[in-house]
Amino acid sequence: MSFPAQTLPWLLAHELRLTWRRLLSHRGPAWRTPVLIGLFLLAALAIGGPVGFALRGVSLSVTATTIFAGDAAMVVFLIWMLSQALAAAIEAFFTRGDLDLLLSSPVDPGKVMVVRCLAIATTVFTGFAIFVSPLMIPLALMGHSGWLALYPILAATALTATAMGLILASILFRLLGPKRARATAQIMAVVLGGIFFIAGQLPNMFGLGKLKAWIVAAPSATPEAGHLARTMLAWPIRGLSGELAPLTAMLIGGAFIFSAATLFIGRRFATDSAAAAGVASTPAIRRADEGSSFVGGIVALTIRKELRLLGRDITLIATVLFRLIYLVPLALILVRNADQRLVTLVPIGVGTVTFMVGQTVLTLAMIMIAGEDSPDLLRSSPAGADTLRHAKMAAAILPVATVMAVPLIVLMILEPVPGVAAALGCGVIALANTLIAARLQRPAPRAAFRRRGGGASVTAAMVSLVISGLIAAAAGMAAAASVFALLPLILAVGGLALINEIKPASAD
Amino acid sequence: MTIRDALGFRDALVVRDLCKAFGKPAVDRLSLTVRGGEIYALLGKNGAGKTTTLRMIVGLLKPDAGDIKVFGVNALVDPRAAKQIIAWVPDEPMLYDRLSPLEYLEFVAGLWGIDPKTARESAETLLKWLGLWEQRHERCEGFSRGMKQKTALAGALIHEPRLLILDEPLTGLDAAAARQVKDVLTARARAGATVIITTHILEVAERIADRIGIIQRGRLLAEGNLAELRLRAGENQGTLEDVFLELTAEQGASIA
Repeated sequence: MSFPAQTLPWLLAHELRLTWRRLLSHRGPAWRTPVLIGLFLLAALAIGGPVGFALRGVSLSVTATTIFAGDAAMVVFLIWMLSQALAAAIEAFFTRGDLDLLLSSPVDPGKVMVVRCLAIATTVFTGFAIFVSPLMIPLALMGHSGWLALYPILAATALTATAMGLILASILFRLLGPKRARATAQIMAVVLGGIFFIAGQLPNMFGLGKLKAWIVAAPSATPEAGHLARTMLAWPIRGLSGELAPLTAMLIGGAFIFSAATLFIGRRFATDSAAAAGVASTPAIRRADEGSSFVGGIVALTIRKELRLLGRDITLIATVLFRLIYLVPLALILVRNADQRLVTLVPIGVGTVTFMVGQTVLTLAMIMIAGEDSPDLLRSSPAGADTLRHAKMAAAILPVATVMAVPLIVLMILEPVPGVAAALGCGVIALANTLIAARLQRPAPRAAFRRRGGGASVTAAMVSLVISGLIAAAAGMAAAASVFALLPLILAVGGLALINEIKPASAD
Repeated sequence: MTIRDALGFRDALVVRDLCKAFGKPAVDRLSLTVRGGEIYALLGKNGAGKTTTLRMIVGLLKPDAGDIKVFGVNALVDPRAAKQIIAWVPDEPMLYDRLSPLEYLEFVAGLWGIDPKTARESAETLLKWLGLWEQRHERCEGFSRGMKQKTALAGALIHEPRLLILDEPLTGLDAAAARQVKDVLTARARAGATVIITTHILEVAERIADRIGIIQRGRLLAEGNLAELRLRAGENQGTLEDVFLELTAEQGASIA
């Protein structure tokens, strides 16, 4: 279907086509798409099926508890969507670099901006709609078709989050200038994304006593909704339970906030984007530190180079921070549980922390081992490929080892057996994931990894999940002093031995 | 022993029957010899096999067949020893945008195992020589193409290579930067290094090259200095451009 040129739908179709093609642009094997669809269906069966079955006779009532729960869920979605919208706004207005073409054409600049904002909102909404579908579709099929009202609620939230993201991006641009705004927004997007995770972990980190009691105090004190049900706070839960009025109000509200933000900020973005394009073509002079010492062998120099490059790349720092935000609270919970002699929870914690260490190291390994801007320089040098690879593996492990050293030492002092199991598990899983990155990930310039947030290929990610799962299970069982820990460990080591036989993937 | 060997001249590069195919042949039984201390220009139309040949010589591509010797070292048997004396400068500079020129040279010196003290001194000399000393602590991401190419050139020269191979080093450079790169190449050749260069700017080859090789469809079509090539093409007073067009057209017609 084609729309008349220069119209709003025509421009929107162009934007969405670009977004879709960017999603498909990551090269991968032919079986990737069917596997992803299969995983989606599996998730729908594994998660949505049992939940739908369990909730088949349950109806949603508007009580103080459900009102607060609904609001909390909305806030979580809003924060998460805001982080996505902020990143998308920065990409769409300051990074992509195709606005020069659009703004130099006779198409109304205001229309261009509205379409770009709409595309951001659509992308943000679609991502979340896909995310909740494995749960919502089985629920709808098992008698809760009314709960599909979640989708319009998500749409309203996406519109609001996009408006907030646009306003925030514009403010950052005005306050800090294009380059710093871009960097700050990327960090903010990560921090916002991590906030709700950490918030969710607060009761665990500081004990389940007072905090939890405080959180549930208000609803339990007023079991009936009363006047609360007539306020805006009840709109999400009333909308979800099938009331048309609050649902419509939310949609109109979201559309109004979005329209206002787009109309008032859209034209300003046209000017800002033009300024950003100018900056992008002539990057500001940035001084590196003056610590070049020419001292050290090739291993030390390679580690230094990798850490320098990581430290100077705000996108990659954001990616690593994103992983650490999840890792650090888990490590703290583990230490706390060990301190309180919670014997059941400690092995689970050891397994979880080990697994998260593996995933964090995998991200760094993708960036440092498979990501290389000058592969020909390395290959045309007399330095051994193995030496360089080992140095890069060490560089990938070093930041995580630094972060984890203190919690692991404390854990070893508090609980020697789980402590040693965790330390060994983290060491093995770190080595395993660097090996997976070195053997299974096709090398590419760092920019490629930057674009997809340091992500691994589907093959490398899936192999890492399986091997990391086995090692984490082994670490958890070892923490419980179980001899069965050997079983997953042997399987993981066997898998790694096979991977080690694979010739490193080539960029050619 | 030949008279040249007796006089201490050595062939810098000897390529024999080199073959590489990507579905169809890219380099087809190519043989050429580059003498020590000369500037050799390898010319050819787009897709003639120049870059593929050079990438095989520097060890980035494995040939399907043939031999490559660099100053007597068999590059296919002992690639590490060959790489130790070669420097490679492709058309896209092999740089790290977020490193400064000094940090880049520090890393490259490490790759070639240069003693830190020597490397530091060489880096300073090279950066001053190439006019990059003032920018030594600035990240390469803000550099112009000319500055990036000069930084890459400094990286190539820091280990004092005996054979310097450059693929289209003047592409996209302004007149001043191009002049500086040409000066560097002639100075290195005068200092005893051997330089192999590919370029589409035939005036450059005509002006700086001691000998010129023209390849077409992966084979050496003609080789020699300008006078010898003129003779071969029957263009007594022609420029290198005339000679090149005449020879490549003639060969194209004979193949057709």
